[in-house]
Amino acid sequence: MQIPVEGFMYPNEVELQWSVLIVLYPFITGLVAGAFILASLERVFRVSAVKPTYRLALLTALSFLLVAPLPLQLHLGHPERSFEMYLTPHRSSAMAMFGFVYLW
Amino acid sequence: MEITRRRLLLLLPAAAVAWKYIQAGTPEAAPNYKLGEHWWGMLIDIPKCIGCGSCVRACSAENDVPDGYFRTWIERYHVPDWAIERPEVESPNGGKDGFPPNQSTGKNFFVPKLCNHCADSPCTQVCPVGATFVSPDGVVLVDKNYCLGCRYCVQACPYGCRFINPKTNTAEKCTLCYHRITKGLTTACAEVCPTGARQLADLKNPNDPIHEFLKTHSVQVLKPHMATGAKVFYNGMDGSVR
Repeated sequence: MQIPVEGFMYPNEVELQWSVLIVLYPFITGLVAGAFILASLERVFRVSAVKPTYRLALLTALSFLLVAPLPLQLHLGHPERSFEMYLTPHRSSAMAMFGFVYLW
Repeated sequence: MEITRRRLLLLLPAAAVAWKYIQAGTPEAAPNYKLGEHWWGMLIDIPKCIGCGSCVRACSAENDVPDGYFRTWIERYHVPDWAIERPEVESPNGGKDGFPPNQSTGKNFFVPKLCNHCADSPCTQVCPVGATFVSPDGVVLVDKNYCLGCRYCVQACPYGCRFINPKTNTAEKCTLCYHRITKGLTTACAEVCPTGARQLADLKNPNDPIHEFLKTHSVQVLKPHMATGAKVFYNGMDGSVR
């Protein structure tokens, strides 16, 4: 027997809240981590096979590291207020606490 | 420090700006209202609701709610015979324009929804800056001059009561008409309800009829398993309501 697909969403929840910009953030940090590992393979672990990629990898890691917080900032309704998360953090909020992890 | 004319001329505008700033943060006067003497909630009598949508329209007008978003809305449940576990729910435009004629079989009823003003609200918990807070009189409010618009609270609310106002880019929700109830009025939705299905309740006021009602009726809250301490009480709520 086929179960008919039926559903109901609360009217306010039809809108997708955390969309592409939020997905972009782990993607960029993933790039940073990957490029950094590639660079460290050459310098720290002496893997000579990846030697040609060293400079590119390190540059990639640095440049993407600099823009990684941008999508998070841009998805905010008021990016100019985002520093409040550090000045007046709410201790029960995972987001505020992760802000400090990020700083670290 | 000696106050010269030059210093005074510099100080005065600064003081004026500071005073303006202080005034902007001062709540509007409600002289006879004492925060500690109230604990607001709402009573919704489901059998009384006729689904006219007056409350949604009144809320919209009173609070300037943008189209397509709802601080309160009405759901129509249709529970077919022999299939209680599969209710059909609809809420066309939040019930703002009423409802089209429905199926005559099965069980049909309306469930008005709004912010439950939870005592332990998930939205308050997750706000990274504390822009959302529970006021001392038990109303969950948002400071729109402080909200980042991060949408965390919108996702955290298990009842779907929040949205991001596209005009201000901040979170918005039912305030239980705070600007009205602090002046001794009832909420806009309760004011216009033709059947009295919605009633503002002050749980700290011993003379409020809510106490008698709660004593003599089987009353439920939405999603009690979420342990949010919801303060919108539903009388006669069917088990199929989500």
